[in-house]
Amino acid sequence: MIGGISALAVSPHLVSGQGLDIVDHEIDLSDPVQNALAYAKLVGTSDRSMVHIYYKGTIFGMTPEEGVKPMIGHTGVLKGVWKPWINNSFYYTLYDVGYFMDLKTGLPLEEFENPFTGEINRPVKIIGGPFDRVIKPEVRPFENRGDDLWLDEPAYLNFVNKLDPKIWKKASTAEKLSFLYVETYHGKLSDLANPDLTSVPMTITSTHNTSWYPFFLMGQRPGGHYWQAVGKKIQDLEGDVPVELINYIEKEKPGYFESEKPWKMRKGTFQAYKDEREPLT
Amino acid sequence: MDRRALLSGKFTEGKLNLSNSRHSVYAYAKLLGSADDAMVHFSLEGTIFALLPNGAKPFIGFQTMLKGVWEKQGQDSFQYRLYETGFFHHLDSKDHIEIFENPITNQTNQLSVIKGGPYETLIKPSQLDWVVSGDDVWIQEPQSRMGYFGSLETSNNNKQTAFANTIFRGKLSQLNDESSIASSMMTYNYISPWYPFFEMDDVDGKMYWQAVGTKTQSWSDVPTSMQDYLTKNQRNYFESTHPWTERTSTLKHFRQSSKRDKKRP
Repeated sequence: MIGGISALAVSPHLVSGQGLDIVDHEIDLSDPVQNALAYAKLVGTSDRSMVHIYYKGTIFGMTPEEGVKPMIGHTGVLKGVWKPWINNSFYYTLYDVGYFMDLKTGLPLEEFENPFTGEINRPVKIIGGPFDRVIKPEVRPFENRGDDLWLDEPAYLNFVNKLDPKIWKKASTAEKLSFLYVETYHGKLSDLANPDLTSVPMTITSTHNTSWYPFFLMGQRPGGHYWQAVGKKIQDLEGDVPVELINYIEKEKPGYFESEKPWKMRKGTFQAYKDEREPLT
Repeated sequence: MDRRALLSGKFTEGKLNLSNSRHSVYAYAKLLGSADDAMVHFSLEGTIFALLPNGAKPFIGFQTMLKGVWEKQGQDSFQYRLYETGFFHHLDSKDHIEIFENPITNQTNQLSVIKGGPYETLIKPSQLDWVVSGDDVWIQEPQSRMGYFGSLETSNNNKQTAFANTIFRGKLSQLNDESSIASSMMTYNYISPWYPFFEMDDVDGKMYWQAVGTKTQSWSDVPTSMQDYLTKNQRNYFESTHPWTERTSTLKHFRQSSKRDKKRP
C-alpha cells in the first residue's frame, strides 16, 4: 500500500493551476506540436513518468425487444507509462486492472443473474494491456468554454472475434466485432498553458458501444452493450480510489502501482475468456 | 446541517452528506441547475455517429443549448422547466446547415432544427447514486425511451427503443459552498433509431448522439455559431423564462414543419 502511494508521487508537478498567474502563459492548440504536448499533459504526462486513472461505471444491455437494462458495474485503475518520443511525439503504454462489480454494493462479483436471459453468468477479471500508442503532433479538436477544456476522442475498432461463433455458440455474437469508444478528457486551459506543469488534473467520461461481451452468454441475440464510466487522473491514491479497489489490485497484481511493466504479454477480456472457459451450447 | 442552514438553503463548509436524501437533492439541484430560483444554461458541442453493422462512422455534428428555469419548492424540493434549442452542422465546421449531403445514402436531406420542451421535472429528496473521488463528483441519469420515430404526424404502433444517458460532473467543494449554483460539465449520450429527416429507414443501424458542454451563465461564453443561430432563429432564448409555450420535440417540430411545407402552394 505504501509503495502504491509513493509510485503515484512520480509526477511532483501534479498540482492544480488554480490561483496561479496565467496572464503570461499562452497555448496555441492549433499548433500540432503544442497540441500534442497539451494532450500528453492532460491524458498523461510530458515527463518520463507514470500516470494512473481511476474509473467506475455501468454496463447496460440493449435489445430491440426488451429495451435497455443495467447489467453489471465495472471499476479499475488504468496505468499509463509515458515517455517523450522522437519528433515532438510522446509514447505511452497502457495497462488496466479492475473488476466487474455488483451495482448495489460496488464489490467484486463472482457471478450475477443476467437480466435478459435469467441465467447465472460468471465474469472474467479485468486485466488489459499492454497497449502501446504514439501521440504525434497533430491538431486534435479541443473544445473550451472559458477555462474549462475538453477533448472527445472517438476510436473505431473493427476486428475478428477471437471466439468463433460456430464453436462458442453462447459466448460469441459474430465472426467480426465493431466497437465505438468515445473517451472525453476534461481539464483546465490555464493548467495546460502553465509551462511549470508536466501533468495536469484531468477527469474522464468514457462511453463504449460494443457487441455483447462473451461472459454475458447472449449468443447471436440482436443488440449490444452501452458502457459508461467516469473517472480521473489519480492525485492521492487513498483519497481518490476506494480502499476495496486498491486492496483488490494489490492482491491480484502485486506491484501494479509501482512497476513500469507490471506484465509483458498482452491480455484482454476476449482472450481471457477463451483461455479460461469452455464452449457452452 | 443545522435547521437554520436548512431553512436558508445554505450548507456549512464541509458538512454536505450525499448519503442524506435532503442533502443529496440539494447537491443535485445545485449541480444540474440551481438550488434557488434561477435560469441556468448549458452549451454543448456534439457529434452523431452512425452505428452500422460493419462499424461506426462519424456522421454529422450538432450544437445545442439547454435552458433550465429552476424554482425552489418549499424546503427540500426543486422544480425545473427545460428548453432545448440547437442545430446540425458539418463535421468540419460549426455553421448551421439545413441541407445535408448524407454520406451513407448519398442522398440530399432537408434537415430539421433541434428543439424540445418545455419539459417539467419535480425533484424530491431521494437516494441518488453519486460517484465521489476526492473533490470530484459525478451523477448519471440513464433513461430508457420507447416511441415512434417515423415521419408521419399520426402516431402508430411502430414503437422503437431509444436510450439516453446524461452525466454531470462537479466539485464537492463547490456543492458545499454557500452559492446556489455550482459549475458543472455535462456529457450527453443518446442511442436512437434514425431520425426521419435523414431518410434512412432502409439502412440497418442506429444513431449515437454524443455531446459535451458546460454550465454557461454568460452570453459571451456562448459560441459564436450558436449566438448567430439564436439571434436569427430564437432571439429571446437566452433572456426569457418562457422562450416558447407549446411543448414540442425535434421529431414533433419536424413533423409539423413538414406538414406546413406540404400545404404551401
